[in-house]
Amino acid sequence: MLACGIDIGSAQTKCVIMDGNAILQGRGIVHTGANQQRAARHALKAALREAGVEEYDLSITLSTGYGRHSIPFSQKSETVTICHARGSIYRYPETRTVLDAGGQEMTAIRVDAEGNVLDFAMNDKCTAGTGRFLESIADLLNMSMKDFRGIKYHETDPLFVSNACSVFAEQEVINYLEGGKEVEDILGGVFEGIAERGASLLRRVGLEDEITFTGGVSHISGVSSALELVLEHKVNSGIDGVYVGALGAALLALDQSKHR
Amino acid sequence: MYTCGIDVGSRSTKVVILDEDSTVRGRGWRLTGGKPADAAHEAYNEALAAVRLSQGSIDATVATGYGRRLVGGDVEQYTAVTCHSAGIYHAFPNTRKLIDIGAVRSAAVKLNDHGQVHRFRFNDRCGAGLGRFLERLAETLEIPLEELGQLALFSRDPQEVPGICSVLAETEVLNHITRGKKPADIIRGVSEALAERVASMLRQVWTDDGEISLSGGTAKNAGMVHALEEVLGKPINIHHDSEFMGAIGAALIARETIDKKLKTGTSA
Repeated sequence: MLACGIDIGSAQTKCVIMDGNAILQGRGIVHTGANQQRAARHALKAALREAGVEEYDLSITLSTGYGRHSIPFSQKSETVTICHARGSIYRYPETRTVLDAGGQEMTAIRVDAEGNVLDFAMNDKCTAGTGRFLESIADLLNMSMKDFRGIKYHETDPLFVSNACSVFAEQEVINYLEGGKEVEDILGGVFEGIAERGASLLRRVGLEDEITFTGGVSHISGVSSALELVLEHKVNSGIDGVYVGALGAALLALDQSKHR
Repeated sequence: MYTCGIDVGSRSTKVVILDEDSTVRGRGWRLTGGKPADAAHEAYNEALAAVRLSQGSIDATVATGYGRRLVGGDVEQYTAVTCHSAGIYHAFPNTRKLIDIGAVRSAAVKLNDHGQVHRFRFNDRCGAGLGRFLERLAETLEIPLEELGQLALFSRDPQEVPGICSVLAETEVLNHITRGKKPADIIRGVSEALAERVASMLRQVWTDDGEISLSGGTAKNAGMVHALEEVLGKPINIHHDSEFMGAIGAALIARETIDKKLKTGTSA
């Protein structure tokens, strides 16, 4: 019995395969790009390869993410919020509050011990403080996300960068560069701005121990460090944070196949 | 005699070297990135290498663009508006209205009969990033930036995209992709929205006489040019070196300063 969870985000498409005991068997990740179906196929292929199984071995596939309705090979779909809540509990069982920062969305979720959503708050239409925003700053600085991961927040002297609007923030970054400021200190400010936006969403749903940080942005340790500092609280985050939505999707798929 | 113009833009840094006849002899181009001074230096060396000259053979240099203060050395500085105007007036002497679309900033300029800046208007802080927005669009759609404009010309069913905020526009682009809309139609919709934004800026410095010219890298985008011409109801002059126009203008100004000094006899 194998279940597949696939998370088609605005930036990246993630796929995981789990066996009947909820043990992870394979993972795949690709850029979503302009063709969601193609991205989903490629992510699935990568996960199948890692798991060493074929597509016909999969009992059930559940899709999530903004492109969840465009996947022909999934039988079920669920919202990202529900999947992230479930996936967070799987990774960190004591989680009660989740912050998910993805390509275009930032969501704070309060969950119960089973991973059910109690409350959630999302950023409005604007994408300031999300992965897309970080990408555009990286682009401006001619750097990559990998470079960003190397920035130690504690070693920077963060400059103030507005977190209300990406366009304004970009302008501020340009002004700092013009003033000859250090790139590291500018990024420290960018990370802090994202952390503050996340913290305000978290406070809206209510902070409860433990706090888990998920989504692609959680891989940037500078942001999670800044978040810990802003919240004055420890935050769980790991290298597979980007897969949490797909993990949740696979777990929900397992549940559904058991109920059948 | 050789003069040099350095244009340190927010996205890319352009350098040109002009000869006595004001012909472009060498070009240098770098992404500006987080270290504008280094980018300027590298682009400068590239341009020198192209003409096979040493630094000593450049008679005068002018820097422009947002990072002009970071170039260092004994280099005079002029604003981007002044330099783009000088470059465009030299290329198209009948120009009275100039649109400069850069990566992050756009300007509408009215020139007088002598090619001097009479009045100008920047985009306000928001609605910034026309060039960068197009670049991001190309990335999202996985289409090379150079082909973006051509593709827009094939659109039959332009999709509406909000024109005020780039961030919201990008969200809408993703929604169009999810709905399976054709890239050409999305690009066309974006071009129309951006053109409308530029036109409203131009209307603030509007006069009916004279030709309109476009400078900045976006001038290479045929779809944008077409959308602009449609909104403005007039043909637009496009120069093949539009991306280097600020640097060319800077080098022309450098030439003028030499001529002036020679005339007054303060320098030989």
